[in-house]
Amino acid sequence: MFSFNGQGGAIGGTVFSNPFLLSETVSTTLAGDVNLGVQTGNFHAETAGLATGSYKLSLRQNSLADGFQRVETVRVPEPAMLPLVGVVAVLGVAARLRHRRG
Amino acid sequence: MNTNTRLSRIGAAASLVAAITASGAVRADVIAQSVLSIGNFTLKIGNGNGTLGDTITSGGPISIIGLTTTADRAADLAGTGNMSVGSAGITCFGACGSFNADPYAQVTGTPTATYVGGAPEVTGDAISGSMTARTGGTVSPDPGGDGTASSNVNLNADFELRVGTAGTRLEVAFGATSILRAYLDGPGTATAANSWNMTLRNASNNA
Repeated sequence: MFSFNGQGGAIGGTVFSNPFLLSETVSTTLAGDVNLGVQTGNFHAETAGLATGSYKLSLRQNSLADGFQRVETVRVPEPAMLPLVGVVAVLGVAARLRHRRG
Repeated sequence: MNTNTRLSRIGAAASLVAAITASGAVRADVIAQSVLSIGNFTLKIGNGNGTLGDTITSGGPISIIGLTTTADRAADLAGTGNMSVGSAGITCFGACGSFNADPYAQVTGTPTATYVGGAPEVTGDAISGSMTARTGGTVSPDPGGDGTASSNVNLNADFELRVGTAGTRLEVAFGATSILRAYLDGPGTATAANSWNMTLRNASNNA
């Protein structure tokens, strides 16, 4: 049997050129861009000497893409309202000081 | 100030802080793309020295008796549609303008459209070196929203060969282009994968 999968080696033969991995997976569950870009190159391999007879040469190729996303609702302070917190706090302190002096 | 008064004031302050907070949404964008393009695929008679060998001819040391190709493609855009087709061609759901124009082109930038597509294609012949085999899939489920999408594309090519001269080597040469990208900017997952393999077995004993 001869087997070549573009991963750098071959069973029952010789690989002359294998510039990148033909079988590869990229995946992320965190924000980011896992991007291998465009990889190009020439591949070259050959079998060992074969006995006479009939053979079947099978090529199998697959591309898979899968994505899932969800919008997450979180409670965050409204920036426009934050100064109001400060105003309320200052008024509270002033009222407390007036109460103590009175 | 007694304890009850103090507690009521703390409670009022907490209520105020709670009242001035609001709900916010974390955006979610996903792109996953996988493309594998095999071009100029050629079978030759190997010479063992790493240079291209002789062309295969009928009745020579190696003959190509037949070629069978099959393909299937499945695309699923949750909430919009899904399809599984047992042949070559393009399957796409959503805003498919760019995918239909070239399903094997690299997708750059951030997602702007909702779609999922898958496309297998095989053309040419392996003796002249014009054989091309391409698989590609891209998913972009609902930029800024919720969604799932998947694309799964398969391509098979089976050659029947006859070796007439013992000790002959079969040589394979081709160019390949691979694109893999998994982009995510919020809660979710993104996966892109390519796979390729080639096996040669004796038809009589499967060895």
